[in-house]
Amino acid sequence: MSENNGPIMVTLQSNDMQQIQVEKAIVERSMLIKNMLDDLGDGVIGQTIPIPNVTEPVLRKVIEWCEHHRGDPPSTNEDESDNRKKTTDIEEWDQKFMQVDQEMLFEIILASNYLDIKPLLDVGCKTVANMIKGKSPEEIRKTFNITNDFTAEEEEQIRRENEWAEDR
Amino acid sequence: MRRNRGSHSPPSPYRALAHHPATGQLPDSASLIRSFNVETNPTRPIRPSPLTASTIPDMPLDMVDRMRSFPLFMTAPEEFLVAIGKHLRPQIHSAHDHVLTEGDEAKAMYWLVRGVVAVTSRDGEAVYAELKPGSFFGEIGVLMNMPRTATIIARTKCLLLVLKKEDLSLELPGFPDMEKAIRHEAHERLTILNKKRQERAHEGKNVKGPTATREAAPGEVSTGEVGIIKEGAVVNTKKRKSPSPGVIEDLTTGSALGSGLVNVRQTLKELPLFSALPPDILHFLGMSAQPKTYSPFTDIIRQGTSGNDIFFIVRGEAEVIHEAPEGQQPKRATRSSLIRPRLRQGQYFGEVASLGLSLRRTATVKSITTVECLMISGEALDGLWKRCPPGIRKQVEETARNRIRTGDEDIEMSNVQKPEKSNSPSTPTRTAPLVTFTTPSKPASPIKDESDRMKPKDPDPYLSVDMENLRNRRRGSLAPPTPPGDSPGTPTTNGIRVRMIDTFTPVRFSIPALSSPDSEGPAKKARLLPRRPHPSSEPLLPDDILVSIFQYLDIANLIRMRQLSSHWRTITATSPKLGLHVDLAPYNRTVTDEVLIQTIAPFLGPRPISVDVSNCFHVTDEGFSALWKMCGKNVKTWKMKSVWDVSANQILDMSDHAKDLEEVDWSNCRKVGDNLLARVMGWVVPDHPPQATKQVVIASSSSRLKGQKKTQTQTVTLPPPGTVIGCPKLKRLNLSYCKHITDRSMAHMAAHASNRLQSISLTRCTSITDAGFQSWAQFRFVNLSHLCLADCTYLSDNAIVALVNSAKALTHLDLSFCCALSDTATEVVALGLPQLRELKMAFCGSAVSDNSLACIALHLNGLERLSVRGCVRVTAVGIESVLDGCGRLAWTDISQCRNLEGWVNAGGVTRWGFDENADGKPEAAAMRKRIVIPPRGVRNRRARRPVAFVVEKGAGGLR
Repeated sequence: MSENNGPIMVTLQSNDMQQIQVEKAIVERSMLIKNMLDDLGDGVIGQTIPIPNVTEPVLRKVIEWCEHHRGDPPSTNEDESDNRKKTTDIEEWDQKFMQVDQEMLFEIILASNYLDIKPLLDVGCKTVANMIKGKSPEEIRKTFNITNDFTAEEEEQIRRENEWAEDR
Repeated sequence: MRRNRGSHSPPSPYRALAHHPATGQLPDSASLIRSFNVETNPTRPIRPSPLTASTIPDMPLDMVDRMRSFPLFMTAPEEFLVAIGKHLRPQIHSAHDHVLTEGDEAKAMYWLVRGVVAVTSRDGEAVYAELKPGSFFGEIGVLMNMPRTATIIARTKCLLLVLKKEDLSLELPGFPDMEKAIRHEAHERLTILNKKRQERAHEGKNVKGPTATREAAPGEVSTGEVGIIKEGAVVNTKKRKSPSPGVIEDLTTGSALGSGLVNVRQTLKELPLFSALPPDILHFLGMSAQPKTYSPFTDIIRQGTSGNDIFFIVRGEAEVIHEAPEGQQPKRATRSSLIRPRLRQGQYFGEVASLGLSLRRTATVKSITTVECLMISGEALDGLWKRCPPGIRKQVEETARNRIRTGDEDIEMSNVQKPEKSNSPSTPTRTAPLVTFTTPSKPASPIKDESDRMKPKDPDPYLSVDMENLRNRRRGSLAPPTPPGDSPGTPTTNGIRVRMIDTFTPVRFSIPALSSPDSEGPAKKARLLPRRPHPSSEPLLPDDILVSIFQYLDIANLIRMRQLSSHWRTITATSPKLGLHVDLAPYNRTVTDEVLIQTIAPFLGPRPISVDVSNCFHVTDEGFSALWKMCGKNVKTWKMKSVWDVSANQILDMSDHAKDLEEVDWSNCRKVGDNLLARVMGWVVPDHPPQATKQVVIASSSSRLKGQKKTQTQTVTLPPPGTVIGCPKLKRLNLSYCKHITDRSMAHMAAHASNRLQSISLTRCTSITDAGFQSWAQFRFVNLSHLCLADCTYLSDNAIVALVNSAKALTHLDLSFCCALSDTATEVVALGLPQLRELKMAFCGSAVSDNSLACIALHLNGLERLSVRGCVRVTAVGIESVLDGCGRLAWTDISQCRNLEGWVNAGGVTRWGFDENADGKPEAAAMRKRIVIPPRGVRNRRARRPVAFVVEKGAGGLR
C-alpha cells in the first residue's frame, strides 16, 4: 500500500456495540467478512460491519490471532485427504494464545466458526481435544456441562467395553 | 546369464530325472501351469512350474525351493545356495542300497529329497531311525574329517543330492559366516555324540550289559531302544536283533542324541531366555550341553533338592509333580490326585532354580517314557554369565521372573484340559514355573503317540516339511513390542490359550469393577437412579463443533467419549466424519479379538478409510474377520504389521471386501506369500479364450515366457474376460520381512501392476533374487517413486541394472545393507535415476567409493538426502565431490565412515553445514538458518542451504 492513504481500514462492531478498527487485509482472514466485502465492493469502506454474535473481548482476541497470522499461506483445501495427518500439535504461539479460561476458549471457537476462520477453528478444536485426552469422564462432563443420563448399568457396561482404551 | 542352456553346455544332471516318477512331476501338461487354488492351498502353488527361473543352473525350481527349506540353508544367503547348488549332483538309490557305511571314509554329505532312508547298525539288521525328505546326513564325517558314524540304507527308491567333500571345502571359505554356522552345528552334534559315547562306555562298565538298561532302576540313566525322533525323522520301534555292532556304537546310534541328528542350536533357541543370545554364546552353550537319558518313571529332578541345571527334552515325555509338603512318601495314590502337567519334546524345565530364583527345585519332574534331554549344567551357565555382558543376565532373569509370575495361568491351562479333581489349590502357583508350554501348537494329550504325528513318507515336493515344522515352533525374527509382564506364549492362537482367556475374562473384569466406586467418588451414588431425564442445560458447543473436536481424537479417546452421555454416544457412533482413520497400533497391547468383535468393529461400522492394527499381536482370524466384515468396505489403507496370526485366507477376504484398497502394510505377516499377494494385487481376465478346456491362463503373454502362469483351477467358474480380480487400485505395498514373497511375486507385480505401483518396501525379503528384478526389466514402473530394498543382501548389480531400466521415476531408493552391490550398481543408479532425491546406501561398503560418489555428484543433481553410513571406503575426496555436485543436498549421514574422521575433525561439517545431533546447543538453530558459501576451490560456489550431517560414532555394533 502506498503511503498517502495507508492500509485500508474496516470498522467492526461487536454485539455489545464496541467498534474496532481493523486493517482490511487482516479482517479478511474471516471468510464471512471477506465474502461480504467482496460482494459490497469499495462502497463499504468507512462503514461499520456489525458482528452480532461476538462480544468485544472475544472479537479483539480473534483479531489478535488474525494479525499474528496475517502472512500465513492460504490453507490448502486438501484438508479432507490430509485428514490422517491431523495431529494435535499446535504451534507455540497458538498454544500461548489459547491459554485462556475455558469460557473464552469456547467463545473463540464459536466466533471463529461464525466468522469462518478455519485455521483458528482448527487450533481451538485441537486445544479442546488435548484437554479432553487426559481427563476422566466426570471431569469432561463438568467441562462441557453435560449431564450423565446413563443408568448405572449402562455406564458400567460402556466403561467395561472401553477398558482397553483406558490404560495409557 | 546363469540360465544359459546353449547346446554346448554339458548335459544337465537333472535332465535324466525329468521323467523319473520320483521327481514328482505330473505327466500331463496341467502340471506345467501354476494354479491359484486358495481353498486348498492359500500360500503356495499346487505345483511349481519347472520352467520357472531357477537360480541354480539346470536345477529344477522345486528342488531349489526344497533345498531352501532345508534347515541348513534356511538362513543361508542366496549366493551360498547357488554356490553349493552348482556342485550338488542328484543320485538315485533303489531300495536296500547302502548309501554309506559306518567306519568308511567320509567323502560327501547328502540331502534326502525323496524317499526314505534308514539309519541302521553296521550290519543293517537293526534299524534305529528313518529319515524323511529334508533330512541331511554325513556332514559330521565331512566337516570333522572322521569316518562315518552310522550306516545309511535306502528303504525305498531314493533321490539324494550329493555334495562332495572337496566341493564343500572349496566353497565354504567364501562364506565365512556359513562355514562358522555349519562347523558350529556339526561340532555341537559331534560333542553330544561323543559325550553320549563316553556316558555309554562308562555305563557299560557299571551296569552288566546293554540289556540291563531296559529295566533300569529309578534315577539311573538308561538307553532308549526307540529310534530317532526329530522333525524329518520317524520313530522306529524295532528292537535290535543282532548284538554284533557292539555296545558303544549301538548305544550311540540307538537314541536321538546319539545319532548326531539333533539340532542342538535349534533346541537351545526354543528357550525364550536363550533365543536372543548371539551365536558365539549359543555355540558355547551348545558345546557344553550334556546328553542325558532317563528310563521311564525316573525322577529327573526332585522337588526341594538343590541343583541348577536346565533340561531340554529332546525326546520322550515327563510329568511335573508337585508334592504337597506332607506327602513326602511318593505314593501313587496321593500323587495321582494332583495335577500333573506333562512336558514333551521341545519343552524345557529347571530354569527357575538354575537362575537362582528359587533356592531349591520347585517341583519333581519324572519321566513317563524314556526321556532324552540336553542338560546345560550350572557350571556352563556360570561360564555363560562370565562371557556375556551383565545386561543379558539381567534380561534373562527378568524373563524367568515373569514366568513365575504368569505361572498360574499356565497351570490353569492344564487344569482345563485335564479336568482332574484338584484338592490342593495352592499347588498351581508353586509348580507353575515348570509348566511352560513353549510348543503349544502340539497336542498336549499324553496318550497321543509320537507316531501319530508321522508325516506321509513322500510329501509334495513343494511342501517343505521342515518349514512347516519350523513355522510352528519358531517365533519371528521381528517381534512386536511385547509388554514385559506378558508370558512368552501369550500371542499364540492355539485352542488352549483361547479357552483359557474365555474362562478367565470375567475374573479379570471383576477386579476393576470392585475398585471403581472408590476412584470415581461420590458421583457414583447418584447414578443408581434409573435413567435420568435429558439434560435441561444448554450444551456449550453445538454438535458440528463437537464433531470437529472429536476429529482430533484417536480411536481410543473417541470410544471413551461414548461414556459421557447418550447424546455424545450417538454423535460419536453416527457422525460420518468420525472414525475415518483408525489407528490401533498405540493400543496394540490391549486390542484383542474380543475388543474388536464387541466394541471397536460395531462402533466404527463402515466408516473407516484407513485401518492400522500394526503390532496388535493378540488379534487372530476371529477378531480380524469381524473387523473387516463390519468396517472394511471403504478402507483404502490397511496396515497390519506383525499381526502374524491372521491367516492368508482372511487377509484375502479382507482385500476382496475392500475394492478400493490402495495401500497395504503386511510387514512381518508370516502367512503372506506369493499367491496371496498375486490375488490381492489382482489382474484383469484377458480376452483370449481359455487354452485348456477348463483352465485359463491369466498371466500376460510376456510373463508366460518366463513360466509365470497363473490359472484358476477347475473348481472355480471362469469369470468373463475383462473381469477385474483383486484390488485394482493397490499401489503402495509394504512387504518387509515377508520371507515367503519370492520372484514369482516380482513377476506378477511387473505383469499386472507395473503402471500403478507407487511405493514398495521389500525390506529383508530374502527370497527375492536378481531373477525377480530381471522379470521387471521389460516393464515400465512409471509411477514407482519409493522403493526400499534394505537388507536384500543377495541382490547383485544385475538386479540394480534391471531395476534402473524399469523404474525410472524413482525418487527415493533405499539400498542399505545390500552388501553384494559393487561400484557399478551405484554408477548405474546415478546414471539411470535422474529424479532421485533420496538415496540410502548405508553399509553398502563395496558399492560406495570416492569414484562412485563422484558419479553421484555428477549426475544426481536433485539429490536431497544421502546416506553412506558405514561405507568405509569413503574419504574426504568423495564426500567433498558430492557436496559440491549435489547443490540441493540438505541431509547426509556419514556416521561410521572410518576414513572420513580426518575430514570431520578438520571442520568439514561446519564448512558445509551443521551436525544434526548438535541440537540443544544455542547455536544450532542459527546454524540451520545460515547460508553456506561453499569453500574455495570447488567448482560451484553459489550460496546454498546448509547440510545437516549425521555423524555418529559406531558403538561397536553395525547398526
